Amino acid sequence: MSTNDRLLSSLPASLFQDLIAQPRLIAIRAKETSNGGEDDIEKLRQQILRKLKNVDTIATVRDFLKLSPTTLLHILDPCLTYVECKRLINRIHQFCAIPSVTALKIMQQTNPGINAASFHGKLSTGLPTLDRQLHGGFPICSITEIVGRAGVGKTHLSQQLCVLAAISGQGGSIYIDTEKKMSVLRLKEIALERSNVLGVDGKRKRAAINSANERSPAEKVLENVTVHSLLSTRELLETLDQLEKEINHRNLEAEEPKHSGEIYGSLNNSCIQRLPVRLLIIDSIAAPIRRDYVMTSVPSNSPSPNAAIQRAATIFEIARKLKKLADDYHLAVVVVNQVGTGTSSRGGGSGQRNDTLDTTDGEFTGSLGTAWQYCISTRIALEHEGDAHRLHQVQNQTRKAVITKSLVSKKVDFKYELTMQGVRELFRETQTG
Amino acid sequence: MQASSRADDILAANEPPHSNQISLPLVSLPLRPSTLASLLRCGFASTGDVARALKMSDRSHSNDETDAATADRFESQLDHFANELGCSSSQAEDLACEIDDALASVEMPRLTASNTGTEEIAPSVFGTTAASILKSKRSAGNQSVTTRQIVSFCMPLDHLLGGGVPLSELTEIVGLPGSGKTQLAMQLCVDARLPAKHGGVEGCAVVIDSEGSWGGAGIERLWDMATALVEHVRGSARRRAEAKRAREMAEFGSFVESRTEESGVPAWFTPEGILEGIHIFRVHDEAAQTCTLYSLPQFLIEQEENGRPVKLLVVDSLAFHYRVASSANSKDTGRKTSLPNTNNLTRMATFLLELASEFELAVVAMNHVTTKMDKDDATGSGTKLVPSLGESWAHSVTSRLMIDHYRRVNADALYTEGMEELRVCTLVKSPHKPPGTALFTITDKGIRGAPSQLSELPHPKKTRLDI
Repeated sequence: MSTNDRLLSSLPASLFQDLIAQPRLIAIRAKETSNGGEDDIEKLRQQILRKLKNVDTIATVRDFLKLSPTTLLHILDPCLTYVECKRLINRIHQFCAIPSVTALKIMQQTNPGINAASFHGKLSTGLPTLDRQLHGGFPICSITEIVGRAGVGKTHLSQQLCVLAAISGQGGSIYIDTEKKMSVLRLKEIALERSNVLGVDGKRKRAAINSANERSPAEKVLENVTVHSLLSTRELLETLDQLEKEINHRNLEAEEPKHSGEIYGSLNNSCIQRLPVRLLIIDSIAAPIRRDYVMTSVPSNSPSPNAAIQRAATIFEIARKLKKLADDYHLAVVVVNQVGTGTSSRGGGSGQRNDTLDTTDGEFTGSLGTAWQYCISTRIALEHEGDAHRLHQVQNQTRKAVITKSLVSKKVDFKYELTMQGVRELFRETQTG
Repeated sequence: MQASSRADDILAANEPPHSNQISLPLVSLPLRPSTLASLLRCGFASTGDVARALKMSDRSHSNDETDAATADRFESQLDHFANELGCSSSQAEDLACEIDDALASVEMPRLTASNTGTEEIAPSVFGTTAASILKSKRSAGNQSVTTRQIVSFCMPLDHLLGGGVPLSELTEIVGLPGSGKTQLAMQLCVDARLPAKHGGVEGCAVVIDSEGSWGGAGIERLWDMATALVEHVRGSARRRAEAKRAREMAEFGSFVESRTEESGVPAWFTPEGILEGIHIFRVHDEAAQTCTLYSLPQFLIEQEENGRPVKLLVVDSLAFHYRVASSANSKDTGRKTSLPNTNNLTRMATFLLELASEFELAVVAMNHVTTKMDKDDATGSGTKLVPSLGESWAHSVTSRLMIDHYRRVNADALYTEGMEELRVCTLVKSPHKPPGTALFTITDKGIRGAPSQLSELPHPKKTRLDI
């Protein structure tokens, strides 16, 4: 539960204890007779809550924190004096404060063997260069963005992440599909191909698998991926609110393998191993927001500030929820973003930034503007080599991926192609040869 | 208990009224509206009136009055006051206490103790001369223990800031996403742990992480920087020790004595030790951020008592949750509600400044860049980039730094190897130094000055941001 929405009535009564130095004053101020002790404190509490609610419709901690001591004094009159108001505010501050963790502890938790090449706390992408540069893959507890133009392989890469996370046994995934592009068949295909290459036992062969095993690797993947399909921003926010429950449920199931609870997905085989949720994918973030917030951008006539503010608000709100989920449940959050087009005034207005691909700099503006870019920790930009949307170049299937924002990596690019197995890196040798 | 201590105050008040007793109008005090109303109704307009009413019933008394007698006298005073107000004596006591507390909160002498007249006006009321401040700062600076800045380990930046990020001040770092704000903050956190012997402040760092960058990958980055710092310090200490030994060899022809500690670097100064002194508060919404910040003093005092004072507070970033909140409000009510937020933000800025000076720590706040509508913009896009959080915040910060990619500020520059990681840092506002720029790069080891082939590049004249 977020601190913002915590109800004041849910705060413990101990916060109100000794708020007034002389308890007998509580009754005197309320012009009632004192019953003494606990009763008075409860009475005071009720009185304060009632006044806050009636006078200024203040019910949550967030609303309360907006009040200055003087405002509070006027609202609560005559329950508390100025000094007592300040005391109450201080106590609520202290009660709602977040405890600290030292950096060393975080490191030991998420990364038990820092010096070893252990990939704890990372989800492999199946792309060697990317994995190496990001110290093992996409980090958990943080948000990673995949941005690129249509058809460059964003959805393929995200599906591949689901598959690899499940095959390696690292965890299950939640796939929020806002563009109706998620293909279960493709997921299964990647799963089959990948499990053949990687081998469930580490064997690297494409042998015929016996019938008992045949569907198993793919099923393991599909069973551990839940799909939410939605269209509007409102639905997205609602879904994010509900995810907590689902994650808890699935993590519980993962702990008790024999527990045959509710089955996600379409298959009825419940003896498949359940994995705790480690990956949350939103494909894509841009679609619903673009759909719901139309940014009319006539250069002379800038978009109405209200629309822009609301859009930024929604973006930050989504980001806030994602961050909380990522942190609370140790998820790797992967967000797919489209490339901004047309809406030039949103680019930042610097004149040096354009909204189309800027391949020399390896950086281009994703949609959603700068507000969103503050919200992500790692950013992978995918590009076509040449313009794939021109017909005569359809043969050229090579694409380029660039790490454009990361705390651990420099800007690095590498080439890849889309195959049956999903996204596969092209090594320098194969390119030259 | 309470009554008797109050009685002492009253006892002290029984000296003849002093001529320079200050009488404040009651309306200027933070009193409950109901208190104020009942007092005004009965003709009390100032604290002097109330003081007089409390003393009217005074009989002459001797100094060897017993406690019981004092309490009695207090009772009778209150009775008198209550009579004038037309309320019960316990209510009267409540009101008298409230006025006293209110006076204390505005740092005035308590009503009943104000007329002792014996204490001289404290010399601190008069200003201190600039010369004596400078002198005290100098003498503090001479003791190696109290370094006034956190060295950033990046020469151009230290030059720009006059030695590093100053303690007791609020420094703001503004930049576009991906410009390196968080990396710079991480570098500072690591540097804050540098032992005093090596020119550091040897303090802990506190991070308020609202963007979620200080977990997982962020900590790995911190670890890399810490490892690099430890290696650097140990390396230079070893070189110094070797040089000393060589000198001794030359002078005496043999070892005089070999030092037991090989480098003089404290034993705790390891990457683990550094990370242990970086405390991270991960806040997920505005309320949590506000509460955590306001209750920080307690944590800081605890740390100080444990002998591990905090010397750096990083808020990464202050803007994030405020931006969430300001937009959420406008969604609910349909009106632009940046105004109520300004109030909170100003309070927060004041609080951070107080925190900085009281605990002698450097406060570093990250800030976003936002797009502002601007009708007479030259580029014709109708927008411009400005630091977010607005004007009143901008006035609150002591220094303001802006970070940007070199290539994007100076697009005409010829491409040079390693240019992607080159950043330009602009000092926009500072009370100590003139505005200027510094070039730095982000390396595996952390934030460092630009290598020679890059440092020759022309410094850009302006930023992309309109300030």
